[in-house]
Formats: sequence, C-alpha cells, structure tokens
Amino acid sequence: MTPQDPAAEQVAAQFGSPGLNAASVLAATVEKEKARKDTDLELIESLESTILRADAPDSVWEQTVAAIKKLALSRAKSRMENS
Amino acid sequence: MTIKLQAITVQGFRAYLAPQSFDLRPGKSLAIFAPNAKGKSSLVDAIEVFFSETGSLVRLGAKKSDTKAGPEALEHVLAEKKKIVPSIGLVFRNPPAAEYGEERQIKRPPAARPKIATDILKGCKHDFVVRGHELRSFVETQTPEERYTEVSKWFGLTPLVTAQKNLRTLRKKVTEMADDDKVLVARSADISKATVGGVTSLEEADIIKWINDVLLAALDKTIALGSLKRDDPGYLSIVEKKRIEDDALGLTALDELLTALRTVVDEKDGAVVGRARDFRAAITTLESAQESETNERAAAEKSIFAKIWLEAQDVLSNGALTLEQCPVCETPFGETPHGSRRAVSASVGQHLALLAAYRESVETLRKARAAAEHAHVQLKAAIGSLERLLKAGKYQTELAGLESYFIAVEAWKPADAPVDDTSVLPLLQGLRDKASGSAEAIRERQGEATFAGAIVKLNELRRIADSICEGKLERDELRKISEALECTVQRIDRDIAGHVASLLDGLRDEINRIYAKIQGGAAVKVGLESPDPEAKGKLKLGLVIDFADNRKGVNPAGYLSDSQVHTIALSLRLAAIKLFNPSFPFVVLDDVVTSYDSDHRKALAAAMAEEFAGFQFVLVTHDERFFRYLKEHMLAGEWLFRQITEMENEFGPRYMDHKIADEVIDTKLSKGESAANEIRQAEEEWLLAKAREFGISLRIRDVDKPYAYDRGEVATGIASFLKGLKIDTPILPGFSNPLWTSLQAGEVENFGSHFQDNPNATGSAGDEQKRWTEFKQFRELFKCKCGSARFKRPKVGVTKPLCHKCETPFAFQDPNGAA
Repeated sequence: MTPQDPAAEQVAAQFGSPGLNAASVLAATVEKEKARKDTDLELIESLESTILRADAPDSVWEQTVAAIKKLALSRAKSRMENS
Repeated sequence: MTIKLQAITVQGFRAYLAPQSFDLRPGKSLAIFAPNAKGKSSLVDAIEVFFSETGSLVRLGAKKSDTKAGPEALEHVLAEKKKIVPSIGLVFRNPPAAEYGEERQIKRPPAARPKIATDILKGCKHDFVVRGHELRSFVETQTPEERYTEVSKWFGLTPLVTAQKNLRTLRKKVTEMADDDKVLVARSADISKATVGGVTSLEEADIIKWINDVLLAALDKTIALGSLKRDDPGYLSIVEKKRIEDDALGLTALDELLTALRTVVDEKDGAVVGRARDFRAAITTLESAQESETNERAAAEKSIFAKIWLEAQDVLSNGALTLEQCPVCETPFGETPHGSRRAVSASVGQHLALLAAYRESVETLRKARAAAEHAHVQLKAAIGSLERLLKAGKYQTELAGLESYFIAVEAWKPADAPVDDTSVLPLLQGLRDKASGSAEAIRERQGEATFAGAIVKLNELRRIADSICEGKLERDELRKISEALECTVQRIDRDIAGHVASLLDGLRDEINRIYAKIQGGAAVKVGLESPDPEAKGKLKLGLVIDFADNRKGVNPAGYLSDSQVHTIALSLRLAAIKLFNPSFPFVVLDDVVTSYDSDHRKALAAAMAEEFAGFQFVLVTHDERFFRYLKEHMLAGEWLFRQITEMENEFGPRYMDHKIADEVIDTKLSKGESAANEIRQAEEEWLLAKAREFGISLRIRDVDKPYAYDRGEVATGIASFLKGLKIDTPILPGFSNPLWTSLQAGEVENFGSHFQDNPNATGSAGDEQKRWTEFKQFRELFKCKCGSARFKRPKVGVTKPLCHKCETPFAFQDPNGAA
C-alpha cells in the first residue's frame, strides 16, 4: 500500500481531521460532557478554561486548584446563607 | 501529489560547523554511514529541529537553559567564535509547483517554526523521525503507562492524554484537599482557647452547652441559647439585658457621647481626623482653587474668541493651504503685530492653551466648592448630635466653650473664610478623653461577669463556629466535586479510549504486514490493547502477541527475542507514518538496525523497498553492512549514499567524497601543525581512486573485522592485483613509506608506529612531513609516461589498466626519475 493507494487514502480520511486532531477531540468531548443532564456544569466550565484545554499553559495547575477551591468555598457559603 | 525534500543545508548546528549541503533532487532518499560520534545523527537532529514547535530537540528539552543542555546544545560550540550563524535550511517541492524552502536559525529564544514546516505538518499526523534508541526504550524499559504516553505522542494524542492525566491528578488533589483538616484543627484550638479548655470538639451543640452552663449561668440562669444565631431568643434577651445594664450604669449615654465626639474629632495613626478636620481641609482646598481660578481667568481674559481661534488655528497650521492674510480679520500677515503667518499661528496656540488651563481651574473650583459644602453639611450634622448630647448630660461648661464654634460653623458660606477651630479642637479632644475614661472606669468596676462581656464572648464563639461550619461545608463540597470528577474522568476516559482503540484497530493490520516482512517466516500476530476505560488506575497500553494457540494475548517480552520486540516497535512507527502522513511520505531512521542480524537488515531493506515505494528516507546508521547492502540493492537514481570518514571539530563531519587538497596538507605542515588526519584521508582517497581505476575487486572481510576499509587493505588489494599482472613494485633506496612497503610485501600496513587508528593520535611533525613527501613521490610513480595520472579498467583482451588519455598499459615510472 503506497500513500496514493485508495486504502491509504481511506485510512487517512478516516483518521484525518478531526480524527487525529486531539484539540478537536478534546473540545468535542468537553461539549458532550457539558450537554449531559447530570454533569456538574460549573465544574466542567471551570476545567474547560484550565486543564481541559489542548493548549493549557504550564501554570494551569495553580489556576485549576484555585478555581476548584473557589467553587467549593462559594458553594459552602451559599449553603450557609441558605441554612 | 506528494511533497518531497529536495535539499538540506546545515551550518553551525550540532556537529556541523562549516556549511554543508545535501542535494536530494528530485526527491532522492539519503543514507549516511558513520561510526559512532562522527556527527551522523546531527542531520537527523537538524530535521527534527526544523519541524519542532519549540525549536529544540525532544531529548534535550526546551526548558533547560540553566544547565546549557537545552537550546544552547544545538549550536556548534565554535559557531559564535567563527561568526557562523547556526541554521538549518530545507528545500521542498510538491510537483508541479516550483521548489520552496526556508531557513530556521538557531536562536535564543528560539525562532518561530518556519511556515513551510507548519504547513507540511498539517497534513502529517505522525512524527516521521524514528530513533533507534527510542524504539529500544519502548520495548525494553517502558512501563505500560509510559508506553501509552509514548504511543499517544506518536499518534498526536498528547493533549488528550494530558487532559486525562490532569483530570486524574486533579481528582486526587481535590480528595486530598477534602481530607485536609488543618483549618478545622486550628479552629478547634481557637474554640478550646476561647472556652478555656471547656470545649474541644467542633460541634455547635457542645459550644452552646458551654455558653449556657458556664457563661450565662453565672449571669442569669433563666437565659439559655438555643442556637448561635443572632435572632435566637436567648441572644436577644442577653442584648436587652446588656442595654438595661448600660443604662443603669450610664454607659449607654457615655458611649453615645463618645461616638458623637469621635465623629467630630478623633485620632488615627497619630493624626487628627474627623469631620472638623475634613471641613477645614476642604476649605483650604477651596481657597486654593479659588485663587487658581482667579489667576487663570486673568491670564485667559484676552482669549475670549476661543472658537474663532480654534478654527483659525486649523487653517493656519494647514501647510497645504496658501494664505497671505489672517483668515479672521483679513489683515495681511506682514501687517499684523506678529509679522508672519507662523508667528500668528503660534500666538493663537498660546491663547488656546491658556483657555484650556482656565477651563481646568474652573472645573477644579467647582469640585472643591462641592466638597466643601458636603463637608460643611456633614460637620453640621455631627455638631447637632453632639450639642444635643452635651445639653442632655452634665457638660454645660464644655458646651459654653464650644458654642461660638458651633454658631460659626452653622453660619459658614462657601465665600467665607475658614472657621477658626484652633482653640476648639483641644477642648473636644479633652472632652472625648474624659468621657472615655469614665466609661472605662465603669467597666472596670463591673468586672468580667457582665452581659456586655457575654456578648463579646458570644460574638467570638460565633465567628469561630461560623468558620468551622464553613470549613465543614467546604470539605463536603470538595468531596462532591471529587465524586463529580470521578464520573467525568470515567466518561472522558471512555471517549478517549474509544478513539485510541479505533486508531489501533486501523494500524493493527499494517503493523503485522510490516512485522511479518521484517521477521519473515511464521511471524506472530501482534496486537495493541487499548487502555481499559473502566480501569480507575493508571492508563496503560498493552503490547501483546498471539504466540501460540495456548498463549494468546501474551506479553512479547516473555516470548520474543530482543530483535523481534524491536521490530514490533519499528513496525508500529512505520505503519503509523505510512497511514497517517499521506501528503508527506517521508521517514527519518536514526540507527534502527542495531539489534539486527544480517538477514533482518536485508529484510528491513526489502520492506523499505517493497512496502514504502514512493517514500523518501533519510537514514543514518553506524552499521556498515546495512549501509552497503542498501547501496547495492536500492536504485542508485533514487538514493544518495554518503559516508562520513572523519569528524573535525573545526569543520564538522568529513564525507568520503570530500577531497583533501595537497595545499591543505602543505599549508598545515608549513605552519608546524599536525596534518596526520589529512594525510591519512589523502592516502585513502588516492588508494581507493586507484583501486577503482584498476578495477580491483577487494576481498570481503570477515564480519568480525572492524567496520571500515583501511588503507592497508586497499593497498594489499592493489599489491595482489599488480602481482597478478607480474608488475613488480620497484625498490627505492632509502624509501620507507609504509604504504609502499605494503605494496611491495602485499601485506596489510602496520599502523602501530605513529599513524594509529586513533584519528587524534599524531606522529611528530618530522614524521608527518617525511611520510607526506614520500607519499607524493610514490604517487608520481603511478603516472603514465604521457603525464596523465588517471587510468581505466582494462578492455577485453587487455590485462593491464590503460592510461585514460593515451591508453598505454600501466607500468611504474622510473624510480630514479621519480625520486
């Protein structure tokens, strides 16, 4: 099978965009997750801007942990206010 | 059509100092042979760096600048000294389009990836640089987790795997945070301290019990708290008791008076503050603003025609307009007091600037007046309260001293001078201190068992209890987030695992085809097991084989040889390149046959030719037999074969077809420098050329011999050839050149004296000069009588080589003449 073979082209098409485009796959996976009824949407949106990004910077951990703590704290405060 | 690499140029990069080029037109493959440490992998590095996003090598890392093992390692160590800009140039062609190329310089910080590289990589899903050492680590040392990461990298799935790993790590971190009880331990200590050891738990019920049994029981046993809330009936009862208590003691009135006094005048950080001071400061600002406005108004008095001037300035400063007279009054510029258009324009500009300053001062004055009026209203309100409290209390004397100030403040208007408070402020401060002292004295007499004290303690305990509650709820929320993450991780894992599985399924057949081609015979069936999406542990990639009917899906390491497992990894990479890089059929192989025997090397060459027709290879190897096999079997027009003979730090890799000119050696020797390496190469070049011209077949050496030809071997071949033709090598008196001796004796030259196999070993300068002189002399003996130094293979019916020019059969020149 050479690169010009129909079989190769078929495989290439199968695994071409977006099959091997990791960023697209990741984005689609996140969207799918967000669309679920039982998903913690706030959590996923928070992660979407931090660790669930294909181009996440090195400083992503600091942001992620801070975002999770903030989320937990705001929920705790809200529960206190409503109790 | 597909893209083909046309040329590579490298300079100042890794082993390459001087510029060197490889012309691969119209798309030839390139094979380079060299022993280790001769710079052969530098060309592979150049290709990797050219396409790298970070402008570095994966194995060096991009962030090691502090250890000089990062981008610095890419530059040739002498590049800066020799003023050579380290760079890599690649030229491509995608027929029928014309050639296009770009250069990537090695810089710090790294230069951006060339556009052409980015464009090519868009259609290139799989890393086309295959390094032998990576394959070995893939099969020999990597754990299934590491293998999953590695394969994900090959497939361009790294962002997905990173996301997976990040989610897992985050879940772990969140669980740790939820289990972290540092905050609650600290609050527990606070509770214990506040209750003098009475409460050590974090339960609100225990705190309330202590308040009722200990704190309130001492004051009033009929009062008890049901909760710590501010609207708890028990708490409201305590507040009421405190008010009654304060009233009875006069504390309420004192506290009110103190508050009123502190509003008018107080001290903070050593400075006097309060509304009296605010009022005074606002008036001072107002006075300053008034003065400024007056001055600016005077300056701008003459600038009342602002609008006209503004328009005139636009016209005057427009160089495109020809004006001879003032556009406002139509006076010729020469007749105005300013005398010219430019001077008129400058004057107008000055007036406009004055108007702008005036406008600003007016705005400042407006703000200052508003601030002063506000401060006045505030002070009047505070004084009103204070006056009422002083009248209600027994402070008639103090009130008399303040009345004139109160009246002056009440009557003040923005145009008035500031109200003099110099004598009043000390009076107010004295009154404040007196009231404060009285309140303190009453509280001291009361002792700790008061409702006021109980409220203070209750507030402290409530703050701690709130903090405990918040901490507990936060932990609870973190646990919920951890559980939500667990579900998300599993779902995303399942998605990604499905994707990886589809990739692996597509690859499996191709891997097995290539594997069977290289391994031959009854090759086992290779399988790659996708990570189990239900597994909560680490992400693993199983590499398995069906070894026998009763040994299916087993680990290859337990059943296959090293070379077989190596072939699995190589097959996987080659299959992925073949399938995923259709627009750029290009493979770089860096030393991938190390663990192969002769048959496997041949099988790999055959697989390259048969399975990868249309592909372009750049291959480097230190295996001479593999190199020679390729040279013999690959189509000459489709491959370029290069052999590195030496590695010179001040030049770079020297290739076999790189000729050493006599002048280079003569110059070095005349400078007193060692030219041993150059002499060695010149000898080899000359001997090989002569062997080729004579059509000499060299005996293939045993496989356990060293990798390379040596000149002695070639010389022996020439000697045997001459003996066969009954051509005696003449005896030259006093001539001790080892090569000549080798020709005479028909034996391999002994290099043990001063021209050792170590290329860095040298003889003395005298030895080198003597050998070079003798070599040039005996070279002359091989010339034809007509003066030509070139011969060609004998024709049919002729046994001796013929002069390329006059076709005279070869014979040695007269040694006496040569000498």
